[in-house]
Amino acid sequence: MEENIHDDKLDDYVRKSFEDHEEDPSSDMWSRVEADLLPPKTIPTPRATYLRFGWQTVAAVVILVLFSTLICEHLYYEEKLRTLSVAPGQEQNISSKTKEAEESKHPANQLNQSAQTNAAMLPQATSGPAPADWRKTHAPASELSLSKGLSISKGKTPNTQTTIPGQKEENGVTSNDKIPQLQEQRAETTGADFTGSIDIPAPAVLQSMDITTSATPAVPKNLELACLPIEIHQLDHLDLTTPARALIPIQPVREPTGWYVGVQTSLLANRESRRKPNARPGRPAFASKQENASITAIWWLKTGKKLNAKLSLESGIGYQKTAQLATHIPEFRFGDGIHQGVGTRRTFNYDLSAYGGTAEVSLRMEQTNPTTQPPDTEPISLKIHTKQRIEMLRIPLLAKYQFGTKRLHANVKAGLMGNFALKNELDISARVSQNTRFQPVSGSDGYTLQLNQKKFFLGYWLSVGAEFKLNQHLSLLLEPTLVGDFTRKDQYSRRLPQQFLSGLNVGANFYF
Amino acid sequence: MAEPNLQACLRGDRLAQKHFFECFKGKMFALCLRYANSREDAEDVLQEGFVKVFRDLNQYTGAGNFEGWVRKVFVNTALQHLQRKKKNLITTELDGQDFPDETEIFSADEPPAKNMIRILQQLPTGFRTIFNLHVLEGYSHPEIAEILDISVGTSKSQLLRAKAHFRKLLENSLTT
Repeated sequence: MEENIHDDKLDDYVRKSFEDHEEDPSSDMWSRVEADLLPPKTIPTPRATYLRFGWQTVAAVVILVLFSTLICEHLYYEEKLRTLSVAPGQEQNISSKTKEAEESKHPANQLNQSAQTNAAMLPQATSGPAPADWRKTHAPASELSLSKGLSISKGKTPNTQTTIPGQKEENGVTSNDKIPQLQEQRAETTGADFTGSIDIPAPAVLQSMDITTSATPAVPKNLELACLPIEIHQLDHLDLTTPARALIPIQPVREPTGWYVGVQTSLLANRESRRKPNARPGRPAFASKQENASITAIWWLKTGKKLNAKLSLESGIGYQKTAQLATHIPEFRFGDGIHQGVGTRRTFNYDLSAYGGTAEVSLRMEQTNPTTQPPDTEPISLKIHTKQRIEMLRIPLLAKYQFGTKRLHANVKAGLMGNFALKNELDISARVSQNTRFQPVSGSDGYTLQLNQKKFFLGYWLSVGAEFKLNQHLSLLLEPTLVGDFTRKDQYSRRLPQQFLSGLNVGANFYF
Repeated sequence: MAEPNLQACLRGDRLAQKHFFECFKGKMFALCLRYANSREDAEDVLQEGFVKVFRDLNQYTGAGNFEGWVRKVFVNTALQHLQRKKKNLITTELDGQDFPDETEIFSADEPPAKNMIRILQQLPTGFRTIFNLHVLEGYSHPEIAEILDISVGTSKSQLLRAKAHFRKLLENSLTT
């Protein structure tokens, strides 16, 4: 270097020498920095934000799928019922569905066939009251004639005038009065005895009918067979080979779909198993201890489908929010702490095993009297109170076996449960030193840790209970229940504490 | 080395913070060595500086060079550290300085910066601080006067004396 370097040249030389110059600090520098850093703040991370919207989306999709399925099922059965019913003016073959039809060669079926035609001809045939008043006027007569049973004669119609059984004719003779005459005529012409007796539940049928026009006979509700009055002259042309056909069709009794939805609540006592975790190299580990069994509630929206009379599948979605108090007592030696370079402060790092996962805790302690230097073997211990706040979404898939009377069922449910942790936090609420020579550094307590349990884990459900049916659709249930989790591990492959929830599941189911 | 993820550091992500530390530890430790009396003191400053950077990272608005912002945090930390270590250190030392007559034996194989750091650590704390602030950080005398709570004239005069002594020690080291 030249002598008498000018100031500016010296400045340049120094700057150039230091440009991009780097020095390596000691190898434990990062651990010293890390020890001095506060635990991560509870800031909603983008992942957490996504997750928050994610579970809402999942819940919405599940509910949408469940209700869509129910609606589709409902529409399907409605359509099925509609196709089974006869549209106005149409006929339906019921020969395979009714006892009468099975005996298709019986004269009664011929009678039914006649009834179809008569129904169409009825308004034209009647000359008295308006069609709307027809039933009021004529039903009693027809009930009478049908309930008595008809004796049918096949032969020539003595009079082509249209009549209705029981209707008063002009000459004062009712159509019922003609029956014996017809029988006599038929016996004379054919020599065969076609007399038959028909038992048809006419009165209830006819009274429930609302016949307004001949072309649109109303369909009776919840009856399998309906009949109309029979015109006598039609009986002359019975065709014994044609299967019986009825104009007024069957209306099948509606079968339950087997689907149900339920609103249920599980009130459960929460008991946590404690497990001492293994320490990592250079980092001790302690287990959180539950203070007492807390009560937690899970709110369910469930749905299920009966596979047969005894077996059903049940699923749904449940929301659980718990806050659980616990304590733990970490114990160290003074020499275990990392010196902070400021006063007598030392940082003690350890792992805390809790239900929600393993928390990495940094404990900053200082001497109450900094003038004396304690030996490295001086014990330091604290009692630390924590509050664990967990929100979970639970989705069960259960097999349900039930048996019992028509109204009261005993049921057994068992199955798997998928659990999604929505919120998983641990509050370090209070720290009490067990050694009066040390105290937590002021301002370093009262913070929140994010626990790092996996977002999804599996559990199970077992329950044995009873279900009481209030009516065809509604039922109440009461089930002693046990809910638990399968073994979970933290990021260091150490087993996490398990929770056992036991209590009652109550609610109501609505059957479609 | 990949750019540090500032958002992750801000969230408290330990891996991101460690990566950040690895990116800046060399340059910042060199800076700390220039201000500190010893390597141990420099490590204390480095530790405290990184903690402050992570704590105050949200105050970086994105305006200006990020490394410049980090350097500023470390410089302030170093000054605070020196002031804590000896109250009114700078003003008292500036009044009357005892300069070492002999320099340590320097190795010709070492980079010049390493030698200069040793020379700087031999300077009185006040001179070293003003020399660092003016020559290497680029602060003006009014700024130095404000930072160290001294007059502008004192800053100028002390800088001249610091440079003279630094030059002398540097020449000695090169001729040895």
